[in-house]
Formats: sequence, structure tokens, C-alpha cells
Amino acid sequence: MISAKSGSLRRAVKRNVEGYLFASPWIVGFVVFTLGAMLFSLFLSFARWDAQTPLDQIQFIGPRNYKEMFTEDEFFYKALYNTAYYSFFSVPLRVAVALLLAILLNQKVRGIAFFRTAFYLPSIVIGAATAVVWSWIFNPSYGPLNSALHNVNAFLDHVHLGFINLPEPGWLESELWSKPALILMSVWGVGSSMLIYLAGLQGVPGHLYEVADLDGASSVRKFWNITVPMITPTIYFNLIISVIGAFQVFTQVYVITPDHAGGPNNSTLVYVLHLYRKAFDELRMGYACALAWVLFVIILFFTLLIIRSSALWVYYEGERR
Amino acid sequence: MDSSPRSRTYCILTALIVFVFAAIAAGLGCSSRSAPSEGKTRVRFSFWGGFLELKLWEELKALYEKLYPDTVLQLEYSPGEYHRKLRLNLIAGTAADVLMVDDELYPAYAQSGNLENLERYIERDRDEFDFEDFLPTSLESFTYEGERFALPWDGFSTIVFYNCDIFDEGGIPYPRDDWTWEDLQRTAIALTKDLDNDGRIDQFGFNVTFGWRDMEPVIWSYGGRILTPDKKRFAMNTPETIAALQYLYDLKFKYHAMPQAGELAGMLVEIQILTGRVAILMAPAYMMSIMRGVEAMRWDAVHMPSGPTGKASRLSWDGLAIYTGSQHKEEAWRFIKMVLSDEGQRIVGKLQRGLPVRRSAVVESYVDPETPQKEEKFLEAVEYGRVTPITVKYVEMDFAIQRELDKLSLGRIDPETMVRNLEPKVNRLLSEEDS
Repeated sequence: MISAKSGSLRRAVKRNVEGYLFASPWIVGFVVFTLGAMLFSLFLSFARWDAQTPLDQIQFIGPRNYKEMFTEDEFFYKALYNTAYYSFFSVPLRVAVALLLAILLNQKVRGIAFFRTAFYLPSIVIGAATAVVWSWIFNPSYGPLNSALHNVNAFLDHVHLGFINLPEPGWLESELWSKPALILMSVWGVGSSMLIYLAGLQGVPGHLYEVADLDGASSVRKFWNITVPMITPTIYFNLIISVIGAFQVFTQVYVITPDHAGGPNNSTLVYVLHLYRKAFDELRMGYACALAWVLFVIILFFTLLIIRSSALWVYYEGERR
Repeated sequence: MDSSPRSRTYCILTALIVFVFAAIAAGLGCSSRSAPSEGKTRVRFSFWGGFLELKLWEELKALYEKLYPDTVLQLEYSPGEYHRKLRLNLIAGTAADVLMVDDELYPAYAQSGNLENLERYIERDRDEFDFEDFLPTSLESFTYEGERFALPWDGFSTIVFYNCDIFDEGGIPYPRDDWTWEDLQRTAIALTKDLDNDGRIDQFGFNVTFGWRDMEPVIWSYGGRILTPDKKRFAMNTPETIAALQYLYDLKFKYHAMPQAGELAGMLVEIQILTGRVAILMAPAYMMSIMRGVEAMRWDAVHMPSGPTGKASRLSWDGLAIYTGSQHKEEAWRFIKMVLSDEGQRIVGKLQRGLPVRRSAVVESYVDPETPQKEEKFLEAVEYGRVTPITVKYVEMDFAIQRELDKLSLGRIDPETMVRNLEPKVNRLLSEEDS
């Protein structure tokens, strides 16, 4: 009995060994560089370590880091709020803008390849460079955006419509407008999700539209009753990716705020920037790891929420799983 | 697998691309190892700064390699983010042999055990140093618990710069060395103008960054201070400090003679004064090296204004240290000694990045009789200068104070509220230091 079982096991191993061998670069990479690092950071989150002393100096302190985070760290909730604010507005906006662009780029017009390239192009530029350009656009004294607003206001005055007065906000210099500025900036990078929508749109079978046309459906109706349901799997995918990306927003804020401090008055201190400062300015690796794990749990929660809700709104043409 | 000619072409192309990248990577790997230093000792030196600093260290490298022909000095230059990079290098154990450190982060580095204790070297080569010649406070800035883990090589005093053209256009006499903060206020208000009448101010009388270190000279000359002399307790909650902060606050909000949030945003202070957007600027001496190259405007420097307890200037020093993990400590030490030698210090002074740390070099090379400005003033400011109270918790203290100052500079709170908010926070940080 036992020998028979081990014999079959041996056969199974023999049968699969090549498979495992071929997959081994990935398996080794994952176990050592991802899983290993994750477990180490989970351990560190219960410890105190400044990363400058050898590993045997790591001091185990139990859940003190987590306690400090929830009860003493005055910037934790501020960072959480800023990140939530950013995500809450940037994710829907990005989904809407990307979908709208994809629909426009799905039209049969001349030179469509040029437009598709042009709208995708910003996604190729690295985040830091984009952020530098946007911080100039948003500059309240000599940036083009406020100059344009100023000129529009002057024109409105000129044509006796002075009662309509567009705001000329301080953008990144103002506590009130810094987060909206970041959100506007985030829309600039919708290229890659736009491309995925475009692929989704092209997968919608043409005969559905033909049938709708025969029934005399309007284009708005076709959009809501055919296009949207048919691309819900694409929306679903993009939504999850956008939520994860939004909670991890870092590069833009790091680049555009002076001293990478998340100013003015912490209004752009996002979660990952707070984590980064704890890790690499204050050298509190344990605390930073604890912050990272809390962020992981938050992202996991929202991702699961979307996955669970998907049964209600995502339509698969194939069998329901 | 599909074996149409087209897909085969793609396969071959992909293989070629992979091959080319691999070859480039291998080539890079090789080139970083083979260098024209066969049989020579390689000493690595990491530092920060702009192009001027690079020029300075290239000159000093040439001198070093001339003096010690069997050694090659490798310059490792970070234009920005130097300290973050250095920390990562220290964590990884790959830091350079000679490290540039500044006085602000020095205690934290010294405490971490990454800097070699220099007392033994100094004791051995005692007769090669003339410590009497070092400018006051410079050596103290690199002492940690009574011992030296770095030696200063250059530094700055804070002084007032002004754009002469703006004064001439406004018909206002240039400031005198015996002026007061009231004089500065009056002048700044007179020079603040909306030149094109669009309702927005284009020319501000005065500017100073709303950073606590930048404000220190005002606080000191009003008789206030940041920490108690033993650096154990917060000391800003006094009428003197609040009066100093109120002075700057009023210049910004009551008289609007200083730019507020959003005005001149993103414009470096040196550009503000060079382009005539700001008439008077309080700034460290290194501003001179930037202004020096400009011919389109005339500028000069004047001593700090006096407050109720006299003048004050902020001093800041940069030092050189040896990494404890270095394999070439003797060579590294020879490099530090060379920078501090008569010849090394003269090179430092000639380039006017900062004041050479030795008085003789300031007098001989930093002060340039050819220029209309009087560089002696930077040296005189050292005499009435003071250093920022720096502790091991500097980074955290800086962050805490700066966050409250942000609110002050946005006009969200007044100076009194600010120091009241700060007191428990800073005291908590300082008490953690002992634990």
C-alpha cells in the first residue's frame, strides 16, 4: 500500500520535474525576492531596526509599532485621509476619462493611428518627468494654466461679464487645491488603461449593434445597453488596477513638493510618502514595515470588495464562474 | 510552433535584440572594472553639490594625485539626494572611503558607528595642524561626545544680499552695516511695488525662506533661541522668540513686503533677486558663488541688521570623515589632511563656494580685491555667528518644526500658537534621545 503510493508519487515527480525546472527561475525569484522579503518585512513590523546596524541588533518589540500608528502618530490619519481623498476622486475620474478616450479612439476616422499614438504617448514618459512639467503648469505665478485663467477673466471683464470670475487657485501652493491638482495630474497618465478599454471595445461583437440599429436604438441607448455591459470585464480589471495604483501614489508627490515633505501643511502627505519618510529619513524600518502592512490590508479590503461586488455588475458572455 | 518565414524573422530579431542588450550589459560590467589604475590604490570620495563643487574637487583631486602618485582618487558626485544615497550605501556596506558630511546630520552618523574616530590620527599628526587657525565653532560642530569623527573643511555665514539696481530705481540709499531690523522693514516696504498695476505685486522688498534655520539669525538677534544651551529642552516659547517670528510674520502678512504662498512659487531665491523680483535677501554666503557670474545686474552684501541684543548670523559647516568600513583609511586620512593644508584651503577659497575653514586661507584667497564686493564681510559675520542646535534627533526635530512653520507661512496660525504647539512635540523628541 505504502510502496504503491510512494511509487505513484515518484512517477508524479518524474512526470512533472521538467515543468518545475522550467518554472524554477520564477519560483526561486518569487520565494527569495518576493515572499522572503514580505515575510521579513512582516517580522520587522513587530521590531525596531535602523537598517544601519547588523541584523542581530533587531529588537523585537511586539505590536508597539501598530499601537503607535493608531494612537500616537499624528500624521498617520492625515496621510490616510489624503490618500483616500486622492483615490476617491482620481479612480472614477480616470476610469471615465480613459473610457471616453477609448470610445473616441475607436471611431473610424482618418489618421486614427496618429491619435491613438498621441493619447498613449504620455504613458511612456516616466512619472518624475511628467510631475516636473505639471508643477510648472500649475505654478500660480508664471504657469500657463493660471495665465490662461487670468486672461479669460480679463476677457470676461472686457465683455461686461465681470460677474463670472473664474478662480485662479494656488494649486500646489494651496492647501485647498493641492489634492485636486494631483488628481488632475493623475488623469494625464490614463494611456495604458485607455488601451485596455480600446481592446475591450473592439471585442464587442458588431452584430449586437446591427440588431439594435434595426430596432431603432439611439447611440446613447446603444452605449448603455450594449457597450457598457459588454466591456464590464475590462472596467472591472481597470478598476482594480487603478485602486491599487491610487493607494500607492508616491512619485508625483515626492517630485513636486519641496523637500519631498508633502506640503503645503501636509495637504499632499500621502500614505506611501509618510512611509518613505519613516523608513529613509528617520530610519525606522520596523515602523515603516508596519505602515506597509496596514496599507496592504487596506488595499486587500478594497480589492476584495470589488471582486465580491463583481457578481452584481460584471457580465461574462461565457459561463458564470 | 508556427514556422512561417515571417514569424521566423521575428524570432531572429528578438534573439538579436536580447544578444545586443546582453553584450552591452557585459561590456558595462567590464568597463567599470578595468581602469587606468593598474597597481594603484583607489580611494573613493563621495560628496554633493553643483557644478562649482565638481570643479573644486577636480582641482583637489589633481593636487592629491600629484602628491601621492601611487593613489587614484575616485570622485563620486551626487547632485541631489546625497544623504539618502549615503545612507543606503552605509546600509549596504558600500560607502566611499572619504565621506562628505554636514554638521546637521553629523551626530546621527557619528552615533551610528559608521564614521572612524579621528582622535588617534589627529594625535599622531598633531604638528601638521594649526587648529588655532580654524574658524570659531567649526571644530565644535564635528565633535560628538567629546571626540572628533570628522573635520570641517568649509562653511557659511548668513548675510544680507541686495540688488543695487532696485535701490537706485527707487531712489533709496543702500543699507549700511550698522542698520537695524526696523531699517530693513522700512526699506522693504518702500521697495515693494506693483509695477504693471495689475493688482499683483511684482517686486518684493525682502525675502527669506520660512525655514527655522533661515529664521534663526532674527530669533537670536531678538534674544531668543530654539533649544536651551544644553540642547535638552525646547526654548522657543519666550517673548523674545515670538517677537522675532512676529516681525517676519508682519513683513509677510501685515505689510506684504515678502512673498506669500503662491507668489514667486517655484522660483529659487537666487533667481528672485537676480531677476529683480526681490530687492533684499537674507541668505548663506554660498549665494555669492551663484551671483558672482552675473553681469546683468549689480549687487552687494551688507551685514546682518541689529536687533535688541545685537547682530547674529547663522554658521553652518561641512566636514570630511572616513568610513569605518574603508580598506584605505591611511590614504583617506592623507586626503583630508591635504584639503586642510595651506594649499588645499587656498583652492577652496579661490573658488568661493564657501569660506575655507582656515582663517589664513579666507584672507589670502577667498577675499578677492578685484571684485566690487567686500568678501571680508562673510568672515566678519563669522565673528558674530552662531550654529544651529543640532542633536541626534535632528531630522525628526526639523520635520516637526517645519510642519508647524508651514502653517505659520500660510498664515493659518500666529507665532504664539506655533511655539505653543511645538513645545510638547520637540520636548518629547529630545527626551526620546536619552532613552
